[in-house]
Amino acid sequence: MQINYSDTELIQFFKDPLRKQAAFKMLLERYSRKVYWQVRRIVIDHDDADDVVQNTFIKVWEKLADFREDSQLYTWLYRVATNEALAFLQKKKANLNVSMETLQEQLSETLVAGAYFDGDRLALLLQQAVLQLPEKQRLVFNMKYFDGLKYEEMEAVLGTSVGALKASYHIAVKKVEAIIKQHLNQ
Amino acid sequence: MDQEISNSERYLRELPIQGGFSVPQNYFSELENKLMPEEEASLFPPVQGGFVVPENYFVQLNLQLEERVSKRLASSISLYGKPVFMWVGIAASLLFVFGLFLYQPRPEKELGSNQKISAEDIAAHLNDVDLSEDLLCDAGWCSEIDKLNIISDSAGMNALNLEIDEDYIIDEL
Repeated sequence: MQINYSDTELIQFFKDPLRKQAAFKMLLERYSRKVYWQVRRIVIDHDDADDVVQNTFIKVWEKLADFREDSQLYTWLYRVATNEALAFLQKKKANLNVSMETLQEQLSETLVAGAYFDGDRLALLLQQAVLQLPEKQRLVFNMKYFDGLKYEEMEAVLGTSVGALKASYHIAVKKVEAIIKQHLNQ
Repeated sequence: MDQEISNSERYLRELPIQGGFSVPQNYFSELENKLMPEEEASLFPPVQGGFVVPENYFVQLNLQLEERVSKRLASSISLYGKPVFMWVGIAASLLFVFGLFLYQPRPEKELGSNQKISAEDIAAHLNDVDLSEDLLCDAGWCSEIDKLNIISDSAGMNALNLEIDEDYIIDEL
């Protein structure tokens, strides 16, 4: 029977060299899926998401011992993964020498052409609408709508005030709704 | 009891009340905007987003990551990772560098030892080993050989003079 350790206990185990690997394994079992889906919604392509997730957890392996526990483990993981994913997109944009808008259009095309997307028309429309949002609004929308994070948790991840996050989410959700309605009415 | 509450409520609602509490201008439209995000979220279907992953992907992902960190762990736990070996390594490195410094060739000393052998000595040596003068001249040692010859000639003259002086002394005796 597997004992369900708390995040605080996991961190303590991780700081013990003899239990570090076991703690990391538990961490992966607990959070790799959540981190993957969060990253996947940002970078869209599965292979890119896989690279980013692996880099994220290697960073976690290197840095978790220094984690000061002034925030929750999951929000810290979320922050590391979000930064990795955004850095990945910036790098991709620079390599392709295109603007962020063009990159988002390409990501939208990836959705249609990609091997690992089996959503129906509405699911595709929703993702394409989300991809039309500016980067910050897209992050906020994904965190709130898909991951169900609280504004306080999002504040810890993004370093943005709760008020500003609410405003961003409000704008984002209105835009997405408008885009979907527009397409459905055509 | 429920019937009593219901009756009371109806009574209260049917009272012809006007005035009372008021709200700032546009309050309700702003309140709607503030509350809307929470409500609007429910407009969209609760889908994962249509994204899928290859079969057994998460199992493989976890295994790959465990393997990667195991390799990192193995490479970081080397002899140099242990304090005693690390300090012995540092001490040995310092000793080696110091040794290199001590055994460094000193150019001025070597130059001095070379300078002790004069051109004349070299020419004399070559003469002793019976090299032909023409060969030595071809090698640029003509002047040195001439000088050597003059010295040896004068030495020979001196020896002759000594012999003469010896005969003279014997005669005189």
